[in-house]
Amino acid sequence: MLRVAAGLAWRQLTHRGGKLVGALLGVCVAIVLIFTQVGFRNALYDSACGITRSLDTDILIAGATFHSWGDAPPWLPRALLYEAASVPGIKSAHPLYVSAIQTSSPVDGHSMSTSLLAFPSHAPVFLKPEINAQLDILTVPNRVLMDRKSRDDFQVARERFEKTGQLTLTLLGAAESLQKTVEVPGLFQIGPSFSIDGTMVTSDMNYHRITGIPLDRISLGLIRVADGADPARVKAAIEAKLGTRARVFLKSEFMDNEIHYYSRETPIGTIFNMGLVVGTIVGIVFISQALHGIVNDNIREYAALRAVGYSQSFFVMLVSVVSLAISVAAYLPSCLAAWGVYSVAAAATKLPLVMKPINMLTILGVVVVMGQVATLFAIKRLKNANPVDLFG
Amino acid sequence: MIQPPAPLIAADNVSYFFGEGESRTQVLFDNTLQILPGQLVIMTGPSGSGKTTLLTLLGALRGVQRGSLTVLGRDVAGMDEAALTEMRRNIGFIFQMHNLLESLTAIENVMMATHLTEVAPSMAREHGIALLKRLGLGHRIEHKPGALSGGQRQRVAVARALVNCPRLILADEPTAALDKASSLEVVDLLHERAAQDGCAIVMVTHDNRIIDKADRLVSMVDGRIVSDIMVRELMAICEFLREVEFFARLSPAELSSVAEKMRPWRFHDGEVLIRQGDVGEEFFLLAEGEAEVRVAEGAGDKVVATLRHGQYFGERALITGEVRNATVAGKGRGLAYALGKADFDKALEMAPSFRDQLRKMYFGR
Repeated sequence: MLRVAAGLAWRQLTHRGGKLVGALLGVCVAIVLIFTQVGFRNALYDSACGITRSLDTDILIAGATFHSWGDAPPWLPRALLYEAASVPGIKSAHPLYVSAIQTSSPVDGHSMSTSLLAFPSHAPVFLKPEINAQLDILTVPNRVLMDRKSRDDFQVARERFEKTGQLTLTLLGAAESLQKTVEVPGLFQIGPSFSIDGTMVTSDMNYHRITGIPLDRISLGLIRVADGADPARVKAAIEAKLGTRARVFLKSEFMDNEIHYYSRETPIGTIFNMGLVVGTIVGIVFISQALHGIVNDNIREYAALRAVGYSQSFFVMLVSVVSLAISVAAYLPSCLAAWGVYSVAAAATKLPLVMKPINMLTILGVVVVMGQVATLFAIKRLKNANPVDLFG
Repeated sequence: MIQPPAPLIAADNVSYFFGEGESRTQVLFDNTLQILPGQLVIMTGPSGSGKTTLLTLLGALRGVQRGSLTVLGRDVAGMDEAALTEMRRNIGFIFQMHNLLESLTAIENVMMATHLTEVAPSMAREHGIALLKRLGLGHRIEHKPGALSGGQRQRVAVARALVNCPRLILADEPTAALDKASSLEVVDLLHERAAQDGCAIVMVTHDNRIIDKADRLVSMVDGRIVSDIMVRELMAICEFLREVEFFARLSPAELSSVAEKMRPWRFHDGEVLIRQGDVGEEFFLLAEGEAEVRVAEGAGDKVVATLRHGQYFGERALITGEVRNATVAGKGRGLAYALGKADFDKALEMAPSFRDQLRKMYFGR
């Protein structure tokens, strides 16, 4: 009977012609909306973890009141890092300095939010070969490396550097007299986040020159464990050593903490999650409307079939297949459309908008579930297919 | 003795109500009806007379509320929705509006009914095509309803109803959208099915063009069956009566009125219909078979005549008041129609000249 139901579903769908295209377009809009929300949310999470991911570390130590990197990390006494370094199983312990600064646009002088990262030039902390290859240059005063994926007028700066091999940027201060001028001798690639337009990397000494922040106030302590040591055990030992004076994370825990922060504690995370819910609801509504139209148009035909002995289970199968077909048919062009949206948005924002296979599968699953939820609504409508109504 | 076939539908005191509580309204009142195989029954009556409600009850589309109803040998009362649905697979339905699936071709629409059976799809398709050809749609088999005329669509719907060879076919105004030729074609096909396969057809219609095709006419008024006439039988009797010299002056309505009162009497070989010396109680028409007229002679009877199809007897004793002057008995199996004395007298009242004619004929000898 499923074969008969599937055959009839297909014929009823294809018979609708223009009406079907209209219904599919509506469902496509909902699916593209879901893709967009998922893509933007992933971009939020990925960009929030972009710097952490590029750090060559197993364990991160933060101040006792640390909440999130995105929420301005409190400073941590460098002495605590050295204290932690005494724990067995540690290969290296290096400081990372982080400060939010403003860079003047090379085009019109407007300020661009910038994250300035620094570390001792003898103690590289990044996994980026481009950075590690330019450590010596960073020892020269007022030299910084610039992220080539920084957005806004940083792109103009990048183009200038790539064209001339030279670039000077002005770092804004509270007053004009506090402005600093830095030379950019090279580039690297990490990518911006939702809140930061660009990233710069320099040595700890330049960091101090630029910000005036004492170097014994570090932002994060980066620990690499010795070969064969268990990072979880080392982390536990550090926690035992430092007690409540610091917070200690494995690298994966640190990134999870960032994702949790953006997902649950920032408006933007909530908006994207709400967007997903809204997209799903809109999808259910559009599929329901399509099913409603099909059931409505064929209600007398269904009643006639019910009269000759077709049971309710046949109609449930029929509508399920219709909704499944609509879902899958709308999904494929929606993927293409979403890919286009991702490309345009990624180019404009420099954010990591990538269509991941796992997300594609998940969204396909969501779309199928949306269709089946819509089927439940349509089944109620099917009960109106009363064969008695066919008689004068 | 030959047992009559079991009825395909047996409704006994069936009543039905719409609504509940204070708004509960009775629409059917104690209707009793039996429908035998091979009958084409037409139900007529004004709008709101309950004929469609009764039809939907007979078709297991509603549950029985009061009374008993047996359809195709199964008691429908108390059946749940699933059982009613299952039951309907053995019934063919034809609706006023064809209600075909617009996305399917004619043959695919017909095939939809066969998917519920165990018949192999190839055989079902073959049968469906044969039916469509029989209905004059051989050139429209692969056309969708949108490409068919109203009459053609209805004929596809008829094929859908017939394709599983159901023992019971229920039709609601099946010819309403058809021209006269198409209507007759459809009804002829249904009639053919009833005659050949022994299925019963119950049809609600107001179409006067096809009413004379009915074997039986059931009229309903205000939720009650007010008349139930075997039309074909009645017409056959009228034909006989019209051939009878002294009934020939009656109008068709009067003839029909007389015919309605005649009861069938299936006799067997040697069965006495009239006995010599008895008081005359009935007038007879011989519809099928033969009967011998015997007169007592000495110790035995002497056959003085053999009556055949279309001949009548028994009228003299009713008119003259004399006792029967001969015995009439069946010669083999046959069928006679008998009219009681009171009804015979009423027939005479209808045409006084007719009575005079008879009196002259019998008393003037």
